[in-house]
Amino acid sequence: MSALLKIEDLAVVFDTRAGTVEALRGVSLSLGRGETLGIVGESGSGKSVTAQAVMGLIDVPGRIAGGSISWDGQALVQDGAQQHPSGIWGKEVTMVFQSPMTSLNPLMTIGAQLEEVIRKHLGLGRAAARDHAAEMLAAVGISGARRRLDQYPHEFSGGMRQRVMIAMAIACEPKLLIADEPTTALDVTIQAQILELLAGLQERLGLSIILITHDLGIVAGLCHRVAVMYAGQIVETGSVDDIFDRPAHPYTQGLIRSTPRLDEPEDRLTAIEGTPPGLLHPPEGCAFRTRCPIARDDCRAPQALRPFGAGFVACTQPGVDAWGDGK
Amino acid sequence: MANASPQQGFWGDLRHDMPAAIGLCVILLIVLAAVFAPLLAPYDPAAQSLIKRLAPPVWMTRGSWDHVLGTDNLGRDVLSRVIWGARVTLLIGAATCLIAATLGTLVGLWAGYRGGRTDSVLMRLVDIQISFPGILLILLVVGVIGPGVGTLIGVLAITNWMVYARLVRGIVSSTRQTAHVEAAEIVGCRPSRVIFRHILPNLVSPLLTLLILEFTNIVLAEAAVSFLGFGVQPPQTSWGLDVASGRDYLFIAWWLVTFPGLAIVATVLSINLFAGWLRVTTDPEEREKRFARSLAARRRRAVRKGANT
Amino acid sequence: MSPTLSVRDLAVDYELSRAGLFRRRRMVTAVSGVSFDIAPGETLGLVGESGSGKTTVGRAILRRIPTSAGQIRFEGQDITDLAGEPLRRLRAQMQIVLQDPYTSLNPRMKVGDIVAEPLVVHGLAPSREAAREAVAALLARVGMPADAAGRYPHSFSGGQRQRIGIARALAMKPSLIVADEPVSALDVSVRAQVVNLMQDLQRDLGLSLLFIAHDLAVVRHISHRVAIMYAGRIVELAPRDAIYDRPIHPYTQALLSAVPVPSPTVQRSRRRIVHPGESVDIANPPSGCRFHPRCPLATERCRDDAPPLADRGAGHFAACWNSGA
Repeated sequence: MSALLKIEDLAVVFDTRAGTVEALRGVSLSLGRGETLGIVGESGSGKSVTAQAVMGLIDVPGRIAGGSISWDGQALVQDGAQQHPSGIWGKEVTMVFQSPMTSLNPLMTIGAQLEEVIRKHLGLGRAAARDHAAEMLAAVGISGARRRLDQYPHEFSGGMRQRVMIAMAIACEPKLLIADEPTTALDVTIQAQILELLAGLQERLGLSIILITHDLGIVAGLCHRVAVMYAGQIVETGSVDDIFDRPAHPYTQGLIRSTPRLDEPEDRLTAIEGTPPGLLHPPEGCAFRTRCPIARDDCRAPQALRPFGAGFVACTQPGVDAWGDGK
Repeated sequence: MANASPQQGFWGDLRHDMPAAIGLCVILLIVLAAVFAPLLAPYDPAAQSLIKRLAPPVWMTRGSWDHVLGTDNLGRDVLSRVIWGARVTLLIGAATCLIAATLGTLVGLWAGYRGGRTDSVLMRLVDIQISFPGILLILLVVGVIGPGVGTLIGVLAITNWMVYARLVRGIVSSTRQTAHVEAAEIVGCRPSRVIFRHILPNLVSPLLTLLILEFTNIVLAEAAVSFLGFGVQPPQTSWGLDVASGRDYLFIAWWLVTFPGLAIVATVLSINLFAGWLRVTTDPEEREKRFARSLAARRRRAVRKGANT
Repeated sequence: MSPTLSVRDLAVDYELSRAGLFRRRRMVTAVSGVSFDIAPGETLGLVGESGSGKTTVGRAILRRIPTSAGQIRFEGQDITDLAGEPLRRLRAQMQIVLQDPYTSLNPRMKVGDIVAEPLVVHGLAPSREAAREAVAALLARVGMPADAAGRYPHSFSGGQRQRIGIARALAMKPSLIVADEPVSALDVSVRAQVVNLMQDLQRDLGLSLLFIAHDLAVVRHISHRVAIMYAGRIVELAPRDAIYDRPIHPYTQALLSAVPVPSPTVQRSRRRIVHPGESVDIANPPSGCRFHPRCPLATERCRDDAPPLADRGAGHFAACWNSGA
């Protein structure tokens, strides 16, 4: 698979009065055509900042401090400097946000908002844009699409609004769709519908998808490949089966073990003690070592992602069962 | 978090914002002038001297160092009158703001905390008062009771408490819904404790900002009412009164109107500059944004400089 | 053993539009016909999607919102119409743990004062010294360092703040705690810590716990019995394993099948039960069984009559005319 998106050694910092927060500390990723990549992490791990950097959305107080992002051979970020190529953001690369309530303009009809995007990026006429908008609503499973074009966002439920957002994102036939916690604000049954929609679109349109979430269950159902982030770095990447069946990094193992499961109830959850480190003064070496049950002295040295099995892991003892009872 | 002491942070921030720093300096100067008026003013502001009437400021021909800003039509020293005028103006402003804010806060607290019908009735009362022209009410009351500093303070307070009531009511009714207030109520706190311990602290910063901005309104209102002859009465003096009595001499002695007028402008402007800064500084989020913006600007300047050399 | 809490036919109406000076109120029934017991030392999980009324039930039990019908008995005493000082004193016995650890602690109070507040307002802190000791014991109980008392909430992470909130709830040694989505705002790695803590406290102190959540996996982990709510009614109530392994109500079945499982192999082999449509509009609920417009088993009877929550044996209750009867 040829890489469509390539992120190399990306660093993003936020300037605050208390000091410089290092939100991304050398993130490297690549994404192939038609691939679904899940980025998993907790709040503050840098998963959303990564998406914002790809979308060119890093703004004051944040700034890109180093690294490169290239899209299909074109530079989006070159050696830490933001580039401004046209015709990529909003057309080839689009994004769906967490809150479908606030990302739509409440004063414009759904149709007007969709048509605006379509006419801007595809250069269609008014009538053609409307036809295309109706097609898109139908494609995301909204029935009576023509009639609903003339409705306002408040006439749609939360799940329907998220469908509209997805329709807007795929209207210009993008190559990459970034979904940042697309179902966090939704109920479980609605979440399942949206995830099925994304999987279907991915297959039908050959989209690449980056799915950003804290929910391991969503990743397991939808993604081909997974990157696990912790404290502004990627600690492990691999195929979805490897990550879930043979997690190699102690953090990944702990994350999976501490998630209660519906199908295999346990008496007691494995808890990762402590809290993630602050990124104002990130610790030297492996950021997880303060919470890691198998931390050693050599964990104080910086850990780069190294090949392990079929994936990559940043750990001194990859593949060791850190949490003990051999499960 | 590397927490510098908040005080130090405040002054550090202020140094970076020139207009606000200047504003604060001017405010302090005016306050000092008002407090130490008897020591600073070269003359009794009411002392008349018909021989020296309408003397121009020192830098004009016929001007002299005896009267730096000249004299008025009765030979009174303009500088002394401006300094003494600050006293009355600030006194009226401060007293009015305090009374209006207290009244408005109490009404707002009650309406916001009780909600329902109490809230509706009190807020309609506010609406009615706001829709009634303030200046008409002032003229009416002064006409009946007669002018004076005390009357003026009372009347201005009655026409200005509504803004506080609206602000406080809005914040209280939204704060009531927050989780920590709910937790306090479930824990078993009595209403008075909920209001004073858990709700009131949220009001301090917005009230302070509003108070400062309203102060300028009162200064202007006092000037207007005094200008119309319904406010401060001679031999007392205020800036508004001086502007009023100087307007007959506008073409032959411009300094009579100009200096008290400038004093009003300087006060209002510097308070606004300072209040704008204070609003941002007491809002942690806005404060962070301002900090990041100034840092980004400095970085851009540095890059440009680097490119030039 | 008599139950700690007993709820019978609870109904709650709330205002759709607020009463103005000249406007009449418009009322909507958020919850109706809700009945359940919680035994001493038992955890009841209350699950539902947004708009199901689960939070409303919790608030009604704590007497935060007025009830429009039904009865709430707490330790044998009817508290449905309690108000004023007796209600304030009752508050010592029933506490809450709130969802958002960032807004549920007063940012301007020190942690020690927050935890001591229940003791102070109920007159149980005769001296500063006594209060300090009590706070230290409570903080230790929830696994917080002793020096936390002197610091402000903002210097703690979400998980630690939730521990502080739990310490405050424990201060009066309550017999019932209502936990309203206590872990849903927390990160995955911290969530397990707090779930374990609540489980330990519940066991050690013999608390009754009403655990309100939308996360079915967490509820399965912590609860003894589980109640599922849909559109303001309980549709199924059963011991934990019974409801997860042998769900009766079509809605429960759909809900369980929609929960993603963190395992790609399991996830691929699972089949989701799809029901068309989204959650009901609570302002205009359908007649009869409120799930009937989305239900594959719906018949004429479901449209006309609301099914009662009937015993299907072994403490398994379900409100359905057709399924598994």
